[in-house]
This record gives sequence, structure tokens and C-alpha cells, in this order.
Amino acid sequence: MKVFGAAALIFILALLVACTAGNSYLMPASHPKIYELGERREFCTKCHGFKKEPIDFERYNHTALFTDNHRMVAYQEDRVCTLCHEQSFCSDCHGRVELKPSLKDQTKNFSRMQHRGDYLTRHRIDGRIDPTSCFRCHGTPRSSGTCQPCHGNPR
Amino acid sequence: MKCCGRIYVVVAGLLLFASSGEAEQVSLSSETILRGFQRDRNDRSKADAAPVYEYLQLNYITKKVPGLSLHLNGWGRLNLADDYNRGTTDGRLLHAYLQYAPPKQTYQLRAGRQYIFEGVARDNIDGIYGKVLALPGTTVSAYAGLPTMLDNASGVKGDLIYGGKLTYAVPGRYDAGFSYKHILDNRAAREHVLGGDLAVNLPKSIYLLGHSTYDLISSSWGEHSYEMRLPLGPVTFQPFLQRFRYTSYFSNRRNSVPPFRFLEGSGNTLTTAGTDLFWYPSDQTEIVLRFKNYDYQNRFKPSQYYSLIATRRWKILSEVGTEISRMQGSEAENRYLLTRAYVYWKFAPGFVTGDVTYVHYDRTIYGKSSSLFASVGLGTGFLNDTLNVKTSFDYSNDPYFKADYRFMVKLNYLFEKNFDLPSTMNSNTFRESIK
Repeated sequence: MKVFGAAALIFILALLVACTAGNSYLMPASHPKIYELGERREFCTKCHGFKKEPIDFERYNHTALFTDNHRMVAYQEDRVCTLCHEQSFCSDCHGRVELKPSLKDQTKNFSRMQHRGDYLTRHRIDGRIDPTSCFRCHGTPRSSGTCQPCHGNPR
Repeated sequence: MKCCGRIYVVVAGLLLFASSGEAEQVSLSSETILRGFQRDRNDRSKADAAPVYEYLQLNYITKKVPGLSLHLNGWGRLNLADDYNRGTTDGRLLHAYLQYAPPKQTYQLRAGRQYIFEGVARDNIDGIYGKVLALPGTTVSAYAGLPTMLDNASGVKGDLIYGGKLTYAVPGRYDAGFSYKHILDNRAAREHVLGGDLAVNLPKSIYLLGHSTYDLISSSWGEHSYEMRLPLGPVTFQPFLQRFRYTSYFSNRRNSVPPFRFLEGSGNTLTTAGTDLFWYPSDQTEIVLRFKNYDYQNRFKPSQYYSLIATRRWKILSEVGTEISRMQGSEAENRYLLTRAYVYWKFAPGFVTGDVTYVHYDRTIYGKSSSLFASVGLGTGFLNDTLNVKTSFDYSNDPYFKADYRFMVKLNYLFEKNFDLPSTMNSNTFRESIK
């Protein structure tokens, strides 16, 4: 039954591919390289202004808190993210990796990555206050590898 | 480590293939990281650890089939000194997929190991994915395969993930999405979720953005997360409201992970509410305030989080920043004050960084009431910035480590070659990683 469900999804997708209309806004494959435009902190509105069409660019401004808040816009339309970021950029934090992102890019200190410094101690408090934010990235057997030495294995 | 060996073989093969004139574009990024530190063994003796990591990424676009590309990314570790972490070697293939996204067409297909970010899905799968702009404003996506994040629990037999998303957008006004995900672990339902997300543009640059999830196993809402943007003169408020129901958000089903598995039975509900405030007195200055209140149905009393972040950039790639944050838990054991200052100074082709974080805990942890972390780094680029060397030296004195010194040397190498046509793929990430 489950396989049938998956097959049905694939069939529907194939049908939709066949019916593609192609008369709506087509997002480009990629954004020009940010660094070659002379920018680093990516504020889309610097170039695109505050237009709402075809994309509400202000929503994607990389503010100091964008790392904390980006999941909402990524859930909604990941194609905007992929204009500039490849999947490897996501997997530095979300993939099954040993090095926490702030360690992998220790000198990239302007990025305000999660867990910088002594997070081993802070996570005791942050985890008690809001375990949902831990769970989003450490909630599977694979992704909880760094938790298991102290907290135990999945069962 | 086996996976990295496989990646190297594939990379070598593709580079040979590329040299035969079949490639339109090849990008190869290598990050080699050597860390050095001292660790305590269980018998209280000291040991020097020197793990070396390799992160390898390859993108390959063929000119034979426009729109067809191959993407690989993986990492591996080898312990050069004391065995650190899980054995002498470790590694993982993070993604390896073929993508077909024909130019000027409205669909995209992927097959292989990949990440799926679609509404309720934020999963790594071995499978297929497709997205199509079916009608003006209407996008449909679907995926199916093996959920790779479960594959160390009980093998992959009986594991399956599938789902999809339907989005309708009226550019400039709103877009709404409905998503579905079903994960089976050894034929038993692990996750079965419906999700809805919404973005609405209102007059005066106000917007509402958020999403909700409904757990079909427990038949109840798991999460509601919504935020607004409210520009008011020189400042912008971004209030938010989130509600998590632990019974539906966490689970104690097969292969559920401690410590989260125990939260499912707590019957608790967490509601967070607060606002971010952004102020840009000049193009170079960013000031951000955050207030967040945590409220629980059971067990805990409310807690609050306050944060002030100020950043000043004086030229491209050079900035200083500072942060002061307070976690005001209801109990002393849940309170801390964090202060941080950092500098990143670019002077082409090199750079220097400095970073200091000090945290004071209201209740001592393992006899210590504070953490001090300091890091200095420097690096430089060669060969038109395609080869970068970065080093950092770190110091930490905290409840877990007493006067701990560590170092890291990182070598980034980027190879990009456009053989014929203008670029049709992005390589910002490569550039980003070597900066």
C-alpha cells in the first residue's frame, strides 16, 4: 500500500511534467556571484529594492538573526536559497557531520553560527528552556550522533 | 572513510571525462582541516589528538544533455594521533545526485542522495524528487526514497519516506503551501505529518509568515510558528509567536532519540512569543534587539531571553561586532549572561580574526560559574584566491575544559573550469567557503 502511494505520487508528478504550462515567472538557475558584486552580508534589498514581485526580497535579507530565523523562508521556497547556496552549504549544519559548523569555519566569525565557543555548557540551559530547537537538527538516529555519548543511543 | 575513497575515484574519473571534452563545467572544492588538541581519556591520562578532515565537493555539468548535472559532497576523517571520536576513521556521503533542470523549462528532477526542503520535509533521502510549475502560480513537488538519517538504527529494510507539497502563489500578495510527509521505519510509522505554510504581503510593507504542522499519528497539532514584519519609521519590528505541543512534536516511537523521547510523555506545551527589532542607523551599522518569552503548560515557570547585537562594517569583508544576551530562566540553574566581541579584518589577500566570548552562569556548573572562549585566526589566499590557508588558535576555560588550547589549520582549494558555454549553475558556495 505504501509503495502504491509512492508510485501514485511519481505518476502525478510525471503527469504534471507533461502538462507544464511554462507561462509563469521562471526563477533563474543561479544568482551572480555575491563576492564579485562586492558584497558579503547579503541584503537582497540593496540591489533589488523593496519590490514584492516576483519575490519579496526583503524576506531574504541576511540580517544578524537570519541564521536563527531562516527555516521559515526555507520551508516555504527553497529555490530562492538555491540561487546562491548549494546543498553542501545546508549540510555543513544539517548533515551528519562531526565538526560543528562554527568549528569547521572557525575564522568565519562574522557568520554568527550556532554553538560558537563553549556551547557544551550552554546547551544544558538552552536545551531545558527550548528542546524543540535542539530537536530540529538532532532528532534522528543519524543526526543525534553528537548527543549519544552522554544521552544514550536511540532504541 | 570508504565513502570518501569512492568520491575520490568518481572525481578522478569525472575529471578525466571532463578533459575529453564532454563537460561544460566542472567545479571541485576541497577543504582539508587539521585539528590539534589534548583530550582526557577515561583513565584520566592525557592524549594528543590530531584528526584530519577532508570535505570534498564536485559539480559536473555535461554539454551533451543541456540541464543535466551531477553533484557530489562528502567528508571523511582520519585520526593521525590518539583515536578520537568513533574509531580511527569516519566519513559520510552527504549528497550525490543527478539533476535535470532543462533551461527555460518549468520543472526539475533529481535522483540520488539529496536533501529535501519542502514544507514539513527537511530530510536527507536516497531517492527521487521532482518539482514542477504546473499552472501559473501553482507549484507541485513530490519525493520518495529511503530516509538516510535512520539507516544506522535497524538497517534500511522496511524504511521509506515519501511526500510532497502543493504551493499556490500570487506574486506580491501571498503564497500558501500544503505539504505532506510519511516516514516508515522498519514498516512502522515514524512520522506522518501534514503541514501548511503561508506568506501574506500586507500594505505598508507589512507581512505575515508562518507555518503549522499536524501530526496524523497522534491526531493533533505539533507546531504553529508565525512571524510578522512591521516597519515603523527607522526601525523594523519582527514579532513572532510559536507553540509546540510535545506529545505531537516529539515521539517515543522506535528509534526515537534520547533525551527527546522522554519529552513526548511530559504532556507539556511550549509557547514562545517576542519580537526582533532591527535598526540601521547607516549602511555600515546594524543594531538588533531580541526579546523572547518562553511559557510552559507544565513543569516550568516562564523564562525570558534578551539580546542586543551591534555590528559595524568599515569596508567589504571587514567588520566588528558585539553581543550581550541574558537568559533569564525561572530557576537559577537556567540563567546565564553572555557577552561576545569579534573582529574580522580583511587586507587582501590575507585576513585576521579575533573572537572572545564570556558567559557567566548564575549557578555553578561542575564548580565553575563562567566560561571564557577566545580565538584568533589568520589566513591568506594564493593563486588568484583559489587556494586559501587559514589557521586558528583557540583557548577555552569552562566547566568542561580547564585552560584548554587547540589549533586548526585549514586548506581550501577551488577548481572551476567552464569549457564552453556561459555558466548555468551557481558556484557561490564554493567562493563562500574559501573566503
